[in-house]
Amino acid sequence: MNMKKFGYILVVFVAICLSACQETLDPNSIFPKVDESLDPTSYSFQLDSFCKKNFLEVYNVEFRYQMQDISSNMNFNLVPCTYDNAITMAVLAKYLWWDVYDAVTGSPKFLQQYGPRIICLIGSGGHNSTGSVTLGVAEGGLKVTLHAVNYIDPSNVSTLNEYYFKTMHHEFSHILHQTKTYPAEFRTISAGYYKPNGWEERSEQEARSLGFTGNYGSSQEREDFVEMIANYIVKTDDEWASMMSDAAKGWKQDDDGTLHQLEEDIDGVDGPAVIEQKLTICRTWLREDWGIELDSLRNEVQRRQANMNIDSLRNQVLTIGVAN
Amino acid sequence: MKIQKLTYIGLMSLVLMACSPRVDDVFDDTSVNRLDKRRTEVMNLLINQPNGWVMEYFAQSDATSSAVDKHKGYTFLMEFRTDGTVTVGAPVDSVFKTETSLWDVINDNSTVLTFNTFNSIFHYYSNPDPALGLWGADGEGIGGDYEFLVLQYNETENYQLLKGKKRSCYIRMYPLAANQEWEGYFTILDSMRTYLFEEALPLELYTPSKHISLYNGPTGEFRAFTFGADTLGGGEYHGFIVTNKGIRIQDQEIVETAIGSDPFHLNSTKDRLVSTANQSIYIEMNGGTAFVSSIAHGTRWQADTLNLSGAILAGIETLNGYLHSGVGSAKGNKNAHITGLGFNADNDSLVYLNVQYTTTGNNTLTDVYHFGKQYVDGNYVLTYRNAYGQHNLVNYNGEDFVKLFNGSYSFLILEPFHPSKGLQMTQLDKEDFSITLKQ
Repeated sequence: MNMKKFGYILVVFVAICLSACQETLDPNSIFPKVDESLDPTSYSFQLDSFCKKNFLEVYNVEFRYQMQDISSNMNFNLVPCTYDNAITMAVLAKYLWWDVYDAVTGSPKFLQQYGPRIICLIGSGGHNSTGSVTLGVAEGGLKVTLHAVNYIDPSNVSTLNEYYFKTMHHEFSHILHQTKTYPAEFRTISAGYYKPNGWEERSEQEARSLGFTGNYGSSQEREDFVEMIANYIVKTDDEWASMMSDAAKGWKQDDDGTLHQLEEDIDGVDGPAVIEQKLTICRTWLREDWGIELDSLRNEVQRRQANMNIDSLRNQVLTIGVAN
Repeated sequence: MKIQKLTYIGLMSLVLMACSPRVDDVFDDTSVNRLDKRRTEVMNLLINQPNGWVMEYFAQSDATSSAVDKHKGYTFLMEFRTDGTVTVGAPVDSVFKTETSLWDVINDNSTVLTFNTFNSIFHYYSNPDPALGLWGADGEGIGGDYEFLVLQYNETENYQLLKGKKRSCYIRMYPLAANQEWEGYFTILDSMRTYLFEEALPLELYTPSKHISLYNGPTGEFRAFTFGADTLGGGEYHGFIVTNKGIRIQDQEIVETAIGSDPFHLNSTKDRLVSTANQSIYIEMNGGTAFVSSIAHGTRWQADTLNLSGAILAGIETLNGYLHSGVGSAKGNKNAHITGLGFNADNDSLVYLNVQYTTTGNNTLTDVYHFGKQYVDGNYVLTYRNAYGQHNLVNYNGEDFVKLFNGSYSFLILEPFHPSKGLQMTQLDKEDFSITLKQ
């Protein structure tokens, strides 16, 4: 046998050997089949059923109220929310968030497409080293985390608005602008007035006078943008008018935190005009990029807030049948 | 050519070897199945305790600084149920309470026990919020964990070992005796705490190679010093938990790394806490330390004069004779006599012997005599220094009596851990020289 022939035979042999080395994958998954049916003997069956029916099956949203630290910001020290408050938050989230968008857009499709996939509830606040408290976080358009759920007081509409409803719309607005960014024009309006570090030192009134809806909105432009939308949606007419009144005045805060109203507004910014200008941009962006009328959204939220009956809402969960 | 053929043959051999894919499995099942199996085992273990569990919980550890609330141990009773609920019981502001919330065992960093909805009794120790409201907190609170890695079950000592996921503190869960009523369990702990720490005096920890003084026991966080060291600054801080059988110190590096974090149990005579890992390691309240530590903090010890005997009684009778008859220019009085003996001090370095007497039968006077003290071979040596302030007895040869107290002493606590109930002070250099002291 000459060397050339021997070489060919060798190549064929090696090819056969290599093909023999191929292992076929086991067609059966190594992962056990997960039984997704709920256990009717479980204590949390009612809430789990509500979340499955109203969030998972309609929107493919996991409503995560049983906390896992790996799904939270590990830089914070956090604790879970109470089961009872999770019920309240679940029904409020549906009533004042999901149902609102469904009503305004005419179907669940909008939130099916753009809504977050995970809602995480956290009992405690997210305490920052500056002394501020993070009330919510939106991450990558997928997950919204709501903090301080242990402090829900359904009888206190003002606190509900500030801690939770505004946070819901704030974080969802983040998700929307993370999907389609806001107009460049918005970036220029308050350029030079943002205070990423130390915004907490500004009073709400000072921030309003500079054309923001509050001090957190004055931290950076993306927070300004979503705070504008969230505040407009949840504030009543009187609250909005009071905010605009603050914006029209001059304010000065002493080093000890004491706030004084000045006879003149000396900051050189026409607060109400700037807020209106920003609001117009938000309104246009929501209409043209998302097909949503901001005022319709606001009217729907205001109507629902005015007619809210928390006991009735909670009964959606508490009347779900349980095993005897 | 031959070399080329050999090369081809060698290559073929390598290819054939590469086609042998069989290796022995390290595990007999997939990782997911093993995790699920372990999860089920842990859940069954937790649920199948008829009267629940005792959790010995620590939030944080840091030997370099004091933080009593973060370092001391806390006890919870827990009952896990199949419906996903857990009832936690513990005293809240000294009132026993229970609260029910949810629990689960999840596959996270291995098998993890999680208390995943808020329970105000249990999550108090991990809650970063202030006691009231949301604002103004440091964001840490006591800073404990609510998720725990489930480690091995100790069959010998019968406990489940956990490890806090964030703070890494080791936590033990013991099955609670079936007939133990929950609230009553905390009464037992309170009794043990009172027994060991009612008197705020240091304990002494003895190992074959160390002698450590443990201060601040009543707080739940020992401040530890090598015996005899200057206690004005420094020391190490070790939280501990009171158990139904004694105590368990969180950081046992203080003792010997070899014994891990095994508990100390009160012995049958109730005068020592003995390590369950090594009988030669124990904690006790040392009478001598109790004596010198207490007098340095203002305690006055008074001798039981009705039970004096031997050299002391003879010394007193001699001194009484001088008081009756007078010595030189010092006049005698038939009613004059010694009425009492006591010890006190106002600093760490001296011991004051107080000799009480009357010169007329109506008045009571006290002479004070200073003694230096030194710790030698487990005993305290008192050495007479001088008379201090008023010292009339010196005129009646009183210093001869006082100098009887020069010597080496052992101190026996008559009721263990309660020196205030009585201390037997025995001079080792003389026969029958023993005093019973009371506060």
